[in-house]
Amino acid sequence: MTRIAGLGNVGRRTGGWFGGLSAVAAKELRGRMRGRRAFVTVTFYVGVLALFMVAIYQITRQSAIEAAAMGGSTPFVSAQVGQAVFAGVLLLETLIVLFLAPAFTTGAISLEREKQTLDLLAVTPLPTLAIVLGKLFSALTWVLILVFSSVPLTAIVFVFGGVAPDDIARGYAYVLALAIGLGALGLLFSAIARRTQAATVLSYFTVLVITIGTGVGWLFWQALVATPTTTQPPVMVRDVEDQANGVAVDGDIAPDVMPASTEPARPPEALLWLNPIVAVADVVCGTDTSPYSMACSVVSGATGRQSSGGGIQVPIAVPAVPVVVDRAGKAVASDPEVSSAFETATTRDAFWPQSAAAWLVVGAVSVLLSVRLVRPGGRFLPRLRRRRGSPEATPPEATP
Amino acid sequence: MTAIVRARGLVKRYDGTLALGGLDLEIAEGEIFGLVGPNGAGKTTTLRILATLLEPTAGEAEVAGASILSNPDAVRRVLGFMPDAFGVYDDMKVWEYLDFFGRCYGLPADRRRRMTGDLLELVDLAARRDDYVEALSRGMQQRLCLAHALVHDPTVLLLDEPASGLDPRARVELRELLRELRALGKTILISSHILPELEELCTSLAIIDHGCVLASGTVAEIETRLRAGAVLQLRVLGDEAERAAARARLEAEPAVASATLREDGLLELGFTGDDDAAARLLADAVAAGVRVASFGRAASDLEELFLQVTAPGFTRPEGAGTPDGGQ
Repeated sequence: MTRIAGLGNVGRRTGGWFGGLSAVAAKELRGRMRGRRAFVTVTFYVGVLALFMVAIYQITRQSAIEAAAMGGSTPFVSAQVGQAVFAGVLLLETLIVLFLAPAFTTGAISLEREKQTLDLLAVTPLPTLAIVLGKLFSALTWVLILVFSSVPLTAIVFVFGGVAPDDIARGYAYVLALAIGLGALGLLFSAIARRTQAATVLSYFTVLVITIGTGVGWLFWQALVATPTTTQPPVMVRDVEDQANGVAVDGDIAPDVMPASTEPARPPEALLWLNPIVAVADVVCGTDTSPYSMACSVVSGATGRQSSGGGIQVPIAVPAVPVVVDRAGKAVASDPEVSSAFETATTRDAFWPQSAAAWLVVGAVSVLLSVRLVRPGGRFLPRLRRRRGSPEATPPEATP
Repeated sequence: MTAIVRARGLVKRYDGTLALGGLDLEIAEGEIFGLVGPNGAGKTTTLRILATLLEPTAGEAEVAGASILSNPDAVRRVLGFMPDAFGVYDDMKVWEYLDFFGRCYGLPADRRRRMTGDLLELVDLAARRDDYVEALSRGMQQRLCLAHALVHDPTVLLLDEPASGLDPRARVELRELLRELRALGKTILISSHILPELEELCTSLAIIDHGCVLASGTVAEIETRLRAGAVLQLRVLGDEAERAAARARLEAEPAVASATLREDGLLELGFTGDDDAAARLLADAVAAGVRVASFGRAASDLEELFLQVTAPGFTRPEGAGTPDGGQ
């Protein structure tokens, strides 16, 4: 009996939970979607995107024609157009998420506080997590409607070729993760700040920091630590001790690990994980025919890995058979196992999945912290500490 | 009757300032209980603690047998709360507003539809069903907010200054509405800083100031206490020495607990006797040659008692009161 009652209770609770989440999300969306505003916004956005694509198409085509007129060879013009359009659309969508995801969530909690409606919600049995997630989902739904309304337009790249469906899936997966992370971060700022204005300023400051700040910071760090490197083919270090059992350990074989004497110090890659520009460049680089394109050079600069063209396999400018050396720099062997490991290490998806995962982690942490802050009596840790400090500060005043 | 709301020793401290200093409260089922006090007395803090929006620094409270600390969800289910400063979602229609809160309480769709119609009828907004909330007047929004507190058919209603900002007519309507709700078996806790507003509506009252209950009980009980502990005011003619002599003479009377000479020349007597004793006191004083220009009770109704007990310094040791005083 007890167990059945318990199960029923769980069912009712989860039912109430989802009910609460959908109640909040539906209420928010109803407000956002009412009237002509939503319709006009989507239409305007898709129209601008279409114009943008036409512009990219014209520019790429023009440069190809000019290249042909100069006597250069222009193989795969159509594929190049497709790739350029894909890169442009993905970048534009990333920018839209960068600007809109925080815009839709920075008011989520602080506006309720300002309009004094948060108390009305807080006295209902709605779980705080349902309130926070309901707000986040409704904000994201609106952003994602904009992003996904561009899918039919993006599909035009298939007419030109050069971009595979899984490239587009990668692009949208990343944009989705970025929207969740940034949206949740905006929500957190909204829960921390007393005023929506402050939350908005904080959010856009953060957007600036992650896009430009991390990039500049990374370059600065690199300039500080960089030592002159000698140009030589990438050589692999194999830990000879590990080879005692005769099994090649993949983890120990990294193409960018040079012998200790010549290894260039580089800032940690993690510094750039939240940088959406590098991640988008990584996705775009996967479609590129040349590893020396702008997108690929950004990625290889950031990660130190050689990036290969993903869309069309082209030879990479590294020795086909890498030289394997032990710690002393003595050539050990060059076996096929190692060279295959080398190839997988240089292929795509080296960076953006980390970035997407980092954003999802940021999103989850932000949601949990927001719940702490929105819950009645809930406080952020720093504020608690200050509060504890104040009674300690009072007695000395009281004694004289 | 059993107590449906019970608070014991509620203490709330904000950053060193004491908002509630050990407040006790007991409200029987079916009552309209008035919480009266000047601004800053702790009314809103008390209501917010009972509504589970604030955690008390110390103390415990129960609503319908559920603890606000260990079982806030159960409290929320039996409680309807209308905050003093409330906002409305202005991008919603009137029925959507009620429907939304119905969903928050997990009511099924058919019950929500019925509830929305009934409540709009009750608060007299049925004709405004499809209007936007922002288009309603202040009084209508107030009624809508009251309706929102009723969507889940709570047994206890907490109303924080529900009549503030309402014109006299709307106040009368609100009073009628609250009587109707009481007839439906709801217990109502209502706060106000205006005593007459509650005097005729409430069955019981508590007067609070500086986070403590100064007096509580039914309206009749409080009135009796007032009569028993009256303050008599005399205006005595004559110079300083003559007045001092009159004070000393009157203080010696058995029914006079205290006698103080105020700076403006009024002589105040803490008087414990009844009307007969008062008459005798006056006759004796006149017979003894005290020149009495006026004689009367200082507190003649609840409002004066309220002003009196919430005046700075009253009932508080060391005169620690702040001069923000009575309303």
